Amino acid sequence: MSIALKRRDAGTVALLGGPVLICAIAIIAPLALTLMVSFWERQMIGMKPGFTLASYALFFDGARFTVLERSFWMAASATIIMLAIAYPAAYLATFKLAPQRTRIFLFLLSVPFLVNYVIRTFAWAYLLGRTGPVNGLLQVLGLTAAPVDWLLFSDFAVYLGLVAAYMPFMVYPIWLSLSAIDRRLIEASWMLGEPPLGTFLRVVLPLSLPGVSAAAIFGFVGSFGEVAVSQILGGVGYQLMGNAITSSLDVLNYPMAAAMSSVVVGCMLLMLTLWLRVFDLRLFLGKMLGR
Amino acid sequence: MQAATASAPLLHIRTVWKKFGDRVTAAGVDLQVGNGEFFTMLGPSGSGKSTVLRMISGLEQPDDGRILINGEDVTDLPPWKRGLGMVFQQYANFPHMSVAQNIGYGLRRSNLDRTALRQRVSELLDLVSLPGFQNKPVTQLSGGEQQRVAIARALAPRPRLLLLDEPLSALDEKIRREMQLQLKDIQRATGTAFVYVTHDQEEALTMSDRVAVLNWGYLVQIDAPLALFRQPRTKFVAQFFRGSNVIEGRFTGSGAQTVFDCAAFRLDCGAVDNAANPPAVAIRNEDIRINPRATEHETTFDAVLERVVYRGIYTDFQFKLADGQIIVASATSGEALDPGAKVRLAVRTDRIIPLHAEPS
Repeated sequence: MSIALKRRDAGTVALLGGPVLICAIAIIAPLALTLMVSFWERQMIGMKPGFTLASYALFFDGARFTVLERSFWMAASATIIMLAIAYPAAYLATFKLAPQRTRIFLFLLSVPFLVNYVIRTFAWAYLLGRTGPVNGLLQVLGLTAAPVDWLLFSDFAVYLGLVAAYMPFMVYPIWLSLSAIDRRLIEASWMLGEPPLGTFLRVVLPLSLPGVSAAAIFGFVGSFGEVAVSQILGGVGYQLMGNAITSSLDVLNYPMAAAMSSVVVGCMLLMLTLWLRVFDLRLFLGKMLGR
Repeated sequence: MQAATASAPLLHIRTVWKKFGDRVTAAGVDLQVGNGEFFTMLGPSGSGKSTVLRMISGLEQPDDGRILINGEDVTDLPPWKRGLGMVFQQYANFPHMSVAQNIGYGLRRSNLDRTALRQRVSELLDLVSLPGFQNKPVTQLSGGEQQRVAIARALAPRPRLLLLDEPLSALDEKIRREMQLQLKDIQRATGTAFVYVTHDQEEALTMSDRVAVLNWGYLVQIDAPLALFRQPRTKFVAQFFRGSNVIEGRFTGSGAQTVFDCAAFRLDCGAVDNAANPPAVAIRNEDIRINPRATEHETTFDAVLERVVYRGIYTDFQFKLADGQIIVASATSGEALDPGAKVRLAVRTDRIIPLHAEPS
């Protein structure tokens, strides 16, 4: 890559130029526009170009900031829950399944994505509802007398929706980094007197951290910007950052929506920067674990 | 579990069997390795040598038979409880650790304090001639350096036995030769018994105190390098060490009066039990003299020169015997001979080795 860049031949420019152009038009320009609009003044209908921090002031002052905090903790805790499921799944797929079955397992993980995710999320709403099959089953089994309320329109439902939506994505990068580990490293660790648990902590886990890091980014970014899950499974009034932004748009408060979007994007960039530092420091982390 | 006794050999492999599917990779292998010994298992790929090594390590389980270390039955112990060291073909150093961390890996359970740990690591680096390499990342070392780190790492916890699985085969020729001598030095300096697996006959002969030759999972012969080289037990061993002629013939007489008879010569063999079929003898190329002055301990016979192959230090002369079998003689001096020449060859009778049947 670096050699190719140094040469700067026509092919390289053409190859890199396309993606850079698409990035600029589809991502950078809208973000720049959003940032610009966030400083504009709101009017009864529409907005007026200018420079005011009014939208930001309103945002950091009001209830919307609590929503940002809540979204952050929601996304962080959901990411931890998803890692706790995705890592063992990827581990089993790598070390315990025959190669033939691993392929089937990974394919099955991608099956839900053949269905539009809004439809999938509505399906959860049906399953978890007061008259849904889950409550029906619980009552038939005699576990509850009346339908359980906290299954739907609750934190539980939102967590479940987030896990169902993003956890499968997180298995792949972890599986990739686990399957890249040379089995002889594990054997070498055993031969040096380290039993399987010690071997996992000192060799397998540190070497899989890049995959864990990528998976965490997938999960966090997805959950932080989620709109559909919180709206459908959280119920009326359940607000995450994405919902707050859409409701501002509903009342045509574009500068406010833009300000909130800018803050979210800024948070993401900050977190990604921190994350990449950790990612780069994985050798250091490995050193600590390996003593 | 038997108690360890002073008289028990360091390693005792008792009639171990292992099958992968219907391929037998260890067929009743039975051998012993003593303290401080450099023991080599030699064989072509598929001979079962690596499987036997992995069964000693505990990374594979035998289907049948026992493995004893100092008289203690370790067959059912997992690798991490056997107290052995292992060096792998592709080094298998931990890529996320420095040289010192790799070497110190197995010392975590030894309760050494930091100073003692550092001391032990630098001791080992001196042993493998990599002084001052402590803080280098292993991934930036050359192949030879990486393998030496792997050896130091395996020796760090003072294993009862060091297992080496073709450790030099990934290195290039020149470094391989240097490492052969260095490995032998390391083995002498530490006094640790080495069990070494290789397919390279030169490696086996250079370093080993004793060599076991394996083929199709069977142990064919165990001997000191010189004995193995001079006295191959079967046709397989004779041909595995390049530079041997295998001449076929027939037996006349029987019992103690058995005589090997081929077109060129007759040889009194005495009683040969379990002889190769058809009967055969091995003669090393360099044991054949061309147009010699006869001495009383030699067998002489006529042959016709077919071709001359110049090989540098020596020259191979390829002869045809009266019955059409080919025999090759190597000589360092360039005999002035042309193809078609009729010559007289001589071999000391004690250098004609009657061969046994392959084990099965």
